Amino acid sequence: MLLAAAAAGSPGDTAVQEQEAAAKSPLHNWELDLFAGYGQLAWPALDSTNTRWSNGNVAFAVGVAYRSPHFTHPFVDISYVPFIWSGQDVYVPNTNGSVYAKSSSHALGIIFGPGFDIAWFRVRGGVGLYAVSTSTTVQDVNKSTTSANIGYLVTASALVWQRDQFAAGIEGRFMTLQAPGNGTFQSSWAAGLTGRWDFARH
Amino acid sequence: MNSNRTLTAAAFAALAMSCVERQGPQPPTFPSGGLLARSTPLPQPQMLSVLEGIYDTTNRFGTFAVVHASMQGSSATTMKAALAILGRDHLAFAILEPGCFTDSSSGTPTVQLVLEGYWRYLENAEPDSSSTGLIRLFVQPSSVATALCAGQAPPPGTAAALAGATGQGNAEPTAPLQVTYVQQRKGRAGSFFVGAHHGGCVTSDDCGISENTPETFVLASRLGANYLEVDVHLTADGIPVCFHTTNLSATLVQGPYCFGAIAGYTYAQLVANCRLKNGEIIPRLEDALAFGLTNTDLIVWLDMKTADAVLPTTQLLGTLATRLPAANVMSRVVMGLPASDVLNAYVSAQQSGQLAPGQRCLVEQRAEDVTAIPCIAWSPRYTRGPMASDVLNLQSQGKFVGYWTLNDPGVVDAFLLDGKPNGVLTNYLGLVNQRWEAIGILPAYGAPP
Amino acid sequence: MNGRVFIGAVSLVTGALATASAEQPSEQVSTSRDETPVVRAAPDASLAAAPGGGFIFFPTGPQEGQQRWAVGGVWQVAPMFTANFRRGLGSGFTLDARATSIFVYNQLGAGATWAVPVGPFHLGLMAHVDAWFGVLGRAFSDSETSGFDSSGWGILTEPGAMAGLQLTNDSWITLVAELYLQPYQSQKLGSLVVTPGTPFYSGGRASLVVEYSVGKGAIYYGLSVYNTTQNFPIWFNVNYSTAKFLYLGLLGGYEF
Repeated sequence: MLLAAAAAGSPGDTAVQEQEAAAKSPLHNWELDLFAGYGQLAWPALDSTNTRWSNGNVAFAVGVAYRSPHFTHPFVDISYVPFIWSGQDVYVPNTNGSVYAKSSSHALGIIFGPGFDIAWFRVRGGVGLYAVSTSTTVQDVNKSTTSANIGYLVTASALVWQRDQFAAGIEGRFMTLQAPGNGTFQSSWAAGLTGRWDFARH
Repeated sequence: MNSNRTLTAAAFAALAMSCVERQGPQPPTFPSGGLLARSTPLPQPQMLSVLEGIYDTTNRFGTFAVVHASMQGSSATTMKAALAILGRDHLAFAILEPGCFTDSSSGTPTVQLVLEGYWRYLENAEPDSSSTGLIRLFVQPSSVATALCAGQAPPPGTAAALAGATGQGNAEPTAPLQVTYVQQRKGRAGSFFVGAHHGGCVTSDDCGISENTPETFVLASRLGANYLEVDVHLTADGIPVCFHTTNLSATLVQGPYCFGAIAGYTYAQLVANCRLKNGEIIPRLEDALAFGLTNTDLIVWLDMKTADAVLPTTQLLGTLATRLPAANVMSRVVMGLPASDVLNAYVSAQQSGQLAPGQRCLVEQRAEDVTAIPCIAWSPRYTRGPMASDVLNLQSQGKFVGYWTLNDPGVVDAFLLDGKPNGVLTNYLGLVNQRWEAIGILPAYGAPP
Repeated sequence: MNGRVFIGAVSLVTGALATASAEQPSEQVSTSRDETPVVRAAPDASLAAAPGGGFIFFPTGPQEGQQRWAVGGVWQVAPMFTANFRRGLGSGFTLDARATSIFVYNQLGAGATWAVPVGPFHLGLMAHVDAWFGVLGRAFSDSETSGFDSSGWGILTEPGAMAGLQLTNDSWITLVAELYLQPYQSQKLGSLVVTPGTPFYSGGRASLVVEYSVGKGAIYYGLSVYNTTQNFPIWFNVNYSTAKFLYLGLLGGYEF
């Protein structure tokens, strides 16, 4: 929802052009959003003392939002969140020396919340569920587990290119998992490209 | 060989702890070790118990505080004594260690018995400078200090006092503190016991030691516990470990790969991916018991969280009993049955002769199961109320009855007076010890040995 | 120390501030989407035009003789149903009543609000008294198995303040701050009644709530941040400690 009054920061547009654009733009839009980029564990840091290597991974998300005359728009976002994958040397009691552990962690999340547009900037915040999957191989024995956690997501994007029903730009994302009781215990950041398609308008 | 395994486990734990960033705050310590660094240990550490009693304090711990002496260590050479001051107000406690040195600063050499350590208000879940700090006390009069530092009993009829100061945070103690003897502690006649819930301190109280660890046995003993409740889960490769929740909860563990059900991990994977909040590894029950039973005199209640842990645990206890004959494993470790599936697994093992010889049990739910199985103890949840008549009935049959978990002073008082139990499991050992001394009533019947 | 980050509150506050700063009267050179000018000069007039007059959360409530109902939910430690009622008394006063329930915990309260417009804002003061009752164990299951045979009850008083701002012609945003003062609480554990020395000051909350009119009614949604003692709202966690912990809450519902 482009608030014509928020003229600050609009690149190259005059107030008159904004008025015309606002007057022509549809009142109700269903949009499909896509994100692709790179992400990794933000907090807590992996113990680096005995870590041989560690990396983040690709991050992507797909979402649907409904824009209306209301100043916020509800969205649902489904995302693949990479945390980290790494190789570490660990000391296990009753073994000889250290053992090598290769592990990875990522999450699949579904988030609901309100989004807010100012000109071509957009911020969103939401809450939902993340299914966190971890996989670890120690002493040739692999173990994978998935657990559900409540989590939060905040995104900030700049849709620098817009034409008709399409827009594209850059986006930064930050998600965090809620610890039981209070606070948060793990978080991940991602940055990349985002695209929007208004697939239904009236 | 067997003691080497215990030492190795402890060494690995220490090594693992040193590699991982601690998440929990540590109690304050004196810079350069304080006066204890230039002191010698008591030649007869068990004699510190002459200082036990009820004392009034001029600040921090209130009146009618309990001074509790304890010893921890696996042999005569490693035995260390500690003194605790346990109060009701602020859920305050202090843990101090003794040391003897000769003070020549006044010209005349004087033997001093110094006690140094830290104090803490547990009503503040997160310690800061207003809720923890250093404490230094000197034993008075000098005749008592001299006698104890010579390994001898003090002159009879001499009431000891403690004088010194407390500080805030890591600051040098400067706020004066007088601890004055009032009376001796009440006898418990082997009938009343204070239990530590998961450990001397639960993890969320940030005492620097995580619950369900070998180290917490020592902390619990220092804070006046008589028994310790630890939780038992089973790993994917059938190893009993000490951990409370079914899933690796973020309130207890750290590590970006530490998620999901503990039963899904082999022990090696658990150690590779998870640390407790204060950096410790999740201990095997075997290592925790071997350390705790040889370093303290605590009784242990194993809270069996899953039915499939019953058989491996009873087999482990039988093995430990053979390996550590001096520890009296079978008489000191009781298997708790918190739910019907665990109880059924225990009864089934009992009927098929698979329980270790001398295995003892505790029931949490139905009182009638205590006599039916039979078990030696009943420990119902406090939210069922005192159930005084049921308590008395079981006590008259020679059973131990204790409540879990009482953490509020008013509730502790009400249950002590109404139920007259043999035991109270608590997060606040100092509180329950102090309330027992103030208002506790011995049960009409003694607890089983 | 644990990285306590409340993302939703940050995003909503950011959004609200951005909107408030964007919609300065001097910048109103064009219109919003549906060509209806944003009414800034006479906020009371636009509120009066809103269906039913006034809302549940916005400081200025229904006009004298008019009333609003709302049903919804709140999720803080656990999800709970909520119901609200507000009736205008005139001269800026309204009578409020509210109910919260998750069956094992039930709370009913009443109070009043007084509000006055100050520039583009509406400011309000409120006070409520609530009674709560909860039960665990015998009422729902076998106490031997559940480990519960307990009930609790208490009185809460909640003074608070609000500040509201009309954002667009159909949406209003309100910031609410409320203290929880607990003069009395008791639990019955089996046959024993205890009145623990729970702290009188049990903490408080701050909420950011958006209400927007939809037809004759309104939808509301918002975010709350609570900082309360451990036995509020988990009443059976009998604990006299003054230590407080921080947690989020989400609320939403429909006003009609």
